[in-house]
Amino acid sequence: MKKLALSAFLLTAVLTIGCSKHSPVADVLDSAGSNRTELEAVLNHYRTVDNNPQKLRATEFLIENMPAHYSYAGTQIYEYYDYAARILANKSLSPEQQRDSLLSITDLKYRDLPSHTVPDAQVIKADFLIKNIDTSYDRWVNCDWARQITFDEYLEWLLPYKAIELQELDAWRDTLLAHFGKGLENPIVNDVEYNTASGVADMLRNDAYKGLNRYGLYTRAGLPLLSAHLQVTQTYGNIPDYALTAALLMRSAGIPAILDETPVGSRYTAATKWFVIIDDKGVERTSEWDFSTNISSIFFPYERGPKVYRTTYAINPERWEYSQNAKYQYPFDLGKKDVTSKYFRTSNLAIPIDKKVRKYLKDKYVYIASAVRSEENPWQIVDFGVMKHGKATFHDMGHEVLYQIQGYDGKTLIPISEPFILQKDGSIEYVSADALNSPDFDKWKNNAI
Amino acid sequence: MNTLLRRSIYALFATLILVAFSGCSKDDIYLHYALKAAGENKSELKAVLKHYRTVDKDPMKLKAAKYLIANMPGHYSYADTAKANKYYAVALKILTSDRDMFWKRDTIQRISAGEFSGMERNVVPDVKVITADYLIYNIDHAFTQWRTRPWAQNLTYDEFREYLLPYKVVELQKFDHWRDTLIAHFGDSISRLPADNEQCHTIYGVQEIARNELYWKMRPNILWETSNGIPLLSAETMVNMKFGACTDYVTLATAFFRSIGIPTYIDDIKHWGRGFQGHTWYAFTSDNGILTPTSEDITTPASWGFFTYERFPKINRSTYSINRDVLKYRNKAKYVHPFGYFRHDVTDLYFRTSDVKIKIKEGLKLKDKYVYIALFHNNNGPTTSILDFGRLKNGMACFKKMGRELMYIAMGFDGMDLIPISDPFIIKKDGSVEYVEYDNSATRTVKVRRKYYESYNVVHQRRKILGAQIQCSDNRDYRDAVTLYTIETTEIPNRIKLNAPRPYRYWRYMSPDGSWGNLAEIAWYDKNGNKLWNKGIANAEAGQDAIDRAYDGNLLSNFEINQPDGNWIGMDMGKPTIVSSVMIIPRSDDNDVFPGNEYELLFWNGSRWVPTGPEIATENELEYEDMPNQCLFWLRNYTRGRDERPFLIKTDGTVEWW
Repeated sequence: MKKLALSAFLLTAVLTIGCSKHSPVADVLDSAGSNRTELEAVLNHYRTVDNNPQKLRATEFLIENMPAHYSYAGTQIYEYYDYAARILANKSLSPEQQRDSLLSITDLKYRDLPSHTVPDAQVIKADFLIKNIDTSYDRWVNCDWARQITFDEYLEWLLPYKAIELQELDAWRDTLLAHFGKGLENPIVNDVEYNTASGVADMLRNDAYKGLNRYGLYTRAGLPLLSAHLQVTQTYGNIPDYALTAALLMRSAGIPAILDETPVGSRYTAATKWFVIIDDKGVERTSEWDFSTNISSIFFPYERGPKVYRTTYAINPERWEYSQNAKYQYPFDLGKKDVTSKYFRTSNLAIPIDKKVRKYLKDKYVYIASAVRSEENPWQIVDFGVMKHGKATFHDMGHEVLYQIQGYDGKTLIPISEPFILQKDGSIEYVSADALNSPDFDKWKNNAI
Repeated sequence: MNTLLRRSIYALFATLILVAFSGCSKDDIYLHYALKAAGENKSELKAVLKHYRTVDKDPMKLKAAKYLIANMPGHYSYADTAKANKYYAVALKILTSDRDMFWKRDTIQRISAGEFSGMERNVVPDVKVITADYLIYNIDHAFTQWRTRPWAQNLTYDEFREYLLPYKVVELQKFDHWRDTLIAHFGDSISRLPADNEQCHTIYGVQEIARNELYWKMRPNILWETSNGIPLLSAETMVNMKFGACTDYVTLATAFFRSIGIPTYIDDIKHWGRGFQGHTWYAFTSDNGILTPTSEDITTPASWGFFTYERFPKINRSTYSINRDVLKYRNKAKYVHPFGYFRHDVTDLYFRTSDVKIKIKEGLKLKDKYVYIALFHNNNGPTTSILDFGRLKNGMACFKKMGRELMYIAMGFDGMDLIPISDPFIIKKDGSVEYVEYDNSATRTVKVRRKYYESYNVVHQRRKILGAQIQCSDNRDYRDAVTLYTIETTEIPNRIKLNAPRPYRYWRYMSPDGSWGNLAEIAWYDKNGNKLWNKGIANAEAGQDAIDRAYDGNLLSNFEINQPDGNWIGMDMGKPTIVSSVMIIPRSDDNDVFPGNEYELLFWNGSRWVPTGPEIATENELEYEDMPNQCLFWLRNYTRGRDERPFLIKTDGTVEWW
């Protein structure tokens, strides 16, 4: 299980924080094993060859947050990618047949690949990092359409060498831009749209939409196509696939882009993962769906949900602390940032927990679950909180959602509160657990992912 | 409103800060002042407070009543109610007559300028005339909406009091039962909302349903550039208003939405960042707490998005509550700019903004701590328009929440007038400030082809001449056409010289494939420069209208055909003729330099615009020698047009418009 491998690495990499005088960067270097020289080479490069304090800080940012990032171990994934390339190039197959073919081979030979991962710090190469840092920095400094973002935003929205875990460490910026960045080579110069983030993003989005002939298939597929040369030839995909391709393409050209997602499905019909750009006026604008829709400031106005998380390169310090201290370990990704309040009205909650129930709890950490339309697992954990003064406290919870609080009894998670609806005005209405299967409550539930 | 009356209303504020009420809260002070300002009408206001203390004992309504009264000073209505009512009655007859829209508009304009002229100058503070019944009606109605409409349930009290409660949406609005009238006219859809459709019961959903009914019942005709007479601000005239400016329909929509519990507000800009006009729109806060503006009025759904590429210097929200910062400014400033009391800066709710500290010029002796930030704009020539005030701090002019990617200038009061106190400066995309310093240590030659910036569409349309050919033939079907010239650049001369080997009868401009024709104007000339004219001709699909548009002298009417390929426009000279030159005007926005128009280049010398002398353009480009090496320029067209903006010329000769 990749989480276990990651946890082991994390323990060696960062557990010493607090009892070591090492900086976070030094700790990661220590954990990189024989790959340490590659990371040090990048740091030295920006101290000596290209003496640029901002690039050096960018390098430190990448290295100190690298413990949250991992890749496939070994080379077997390339066999799969080679096979996928042949299948995708076979024009005699329909997208459905191609999807089925890759699903079959995945189940037959590659199903366990995602469980065999290696920390990026142990495999990433200096040249690869330097190329990513130089290219992204050049875009940020020299492209008019990237000048609206701060250095801190640059670190998160342009710099990272990957946008999703297990993404191949390849020359994705060059590959994507070569396929879908033709419009940048000969733009129509004008005084309004030219060289703007919105204009360039729209041009890229259109190029990718037409170039890929987007074809949505939403049932189970094989291992995701996380290599750039496959992403530019993908003949089918689901919304997260295309949103990822779009985000990578945007970053390739210097458009600040990032991926947001919900931990549960939609209430009605909406994407569960989408990309966001920072436009010329500093406004975060969403794709709603993927690159098939205009980038807009309107985002599914009827949707409601418990949480929206942003996929970040940086390690979320609260989640890091949780991973170090929680007695029960729920697999929260470290590279997620809570951005719910950008999408929904939210409230901070302090839910009283019965004294009799509290005595069963073996951990200060508690969990908030959101009701989903699933008979097998009707409650989806969406965040953790802590017990304070007899109350389970949580931050930035979306309104108009049915919740339940859970806690750890030493063996497993158990419900520790009655279900409740966080109403649109922020008030709490408790409901009987027995009544939850009534159709009347369906409107408070989201689809399961 | 005449100056005297306006001053008398504003004077109600002037003493406010002088009133000392030790031990009282600010709200109590404001309420006390308002009651005092009401004079003989004080009893009506107190009756409202008593009503919610005794008859309808509702602390929230009492709080709302206090809020309305405390913020009432400064709001005003027509003093001559009888005259205003008569105007609305006459206007209603006109609006409901069978005559066409333009007759109605012209008639209302005529009575506005005649029998009812001057009405808007005779106003009275609301505190002196509003009745208890009217206030109670409004408060009760608004509370009913807030407490019963499903979509209003998440409104906080602060949102409610500003976006639902006020008894008027705009000044001079009639004290009538506008909430009931508007619901009666446009409330069919919301009275039939399906109970089981949750989306219909959201702010976003019901707003769109209500807007649709409003739109289809009103079928608004937006009349730009015209005065439509005294505003139609009674509910009955509003609901019959089939024409108007976008602000009229924004007012109507806001009033209607507030009537049904949708928290709606009116936001505006005094000027677009690079234009001379302003804009007003309505916005609402969605169920998810997201600011959701409409780009126009009731004609555009909120889902259409909001001006992706426009630049906004300052967005203000019309509020019922008094902006106490403005009040303080107007009481303390030595030079008083008429910033509205009921406007709040909301720029940062829309976009990323900058707080800036601007270097002021040395040697200035300013007479006030207040300073001003202004845009250059065109008002029969370059002028400045004040956007906001700031303060001098440590020798810097400080301003807050300014829109980016725009050029500004700081102004200050020298004891006589406002004067520029800084170099023009640009707040860049990243929030940094770049000054435009005047440098005449060297000179340069300046070449300009336009007076205004150009959008993608303008450039795109202009490029449709690329690849076009000028041809001549002996035959009407051009089967043996001789190509004399091929257009390879958009920077063509005004007269393209032609060297025909002999006279031909038929001449044409052959549009490139994919251009859909697209030409603004064409003219043919003999060797003496005389225009040749006989019979305009074109491909069969074009039609006479299209031919006329190519020869009508109007640069904004175009030869545009409903097919992408095979279009041409030409001239049958009637007999073999030598054409020595042809004028091709590509489709554009008519802001290109045009021969025959009178222009003048101005430059900013650090304190004022310096004219360089007018001249008649003889080509598509103007050239000026010995211009300052670095400065801000402005090209005036004295012949026609209003679109003019300042520009910089980069060292590589490219023009940057601001």
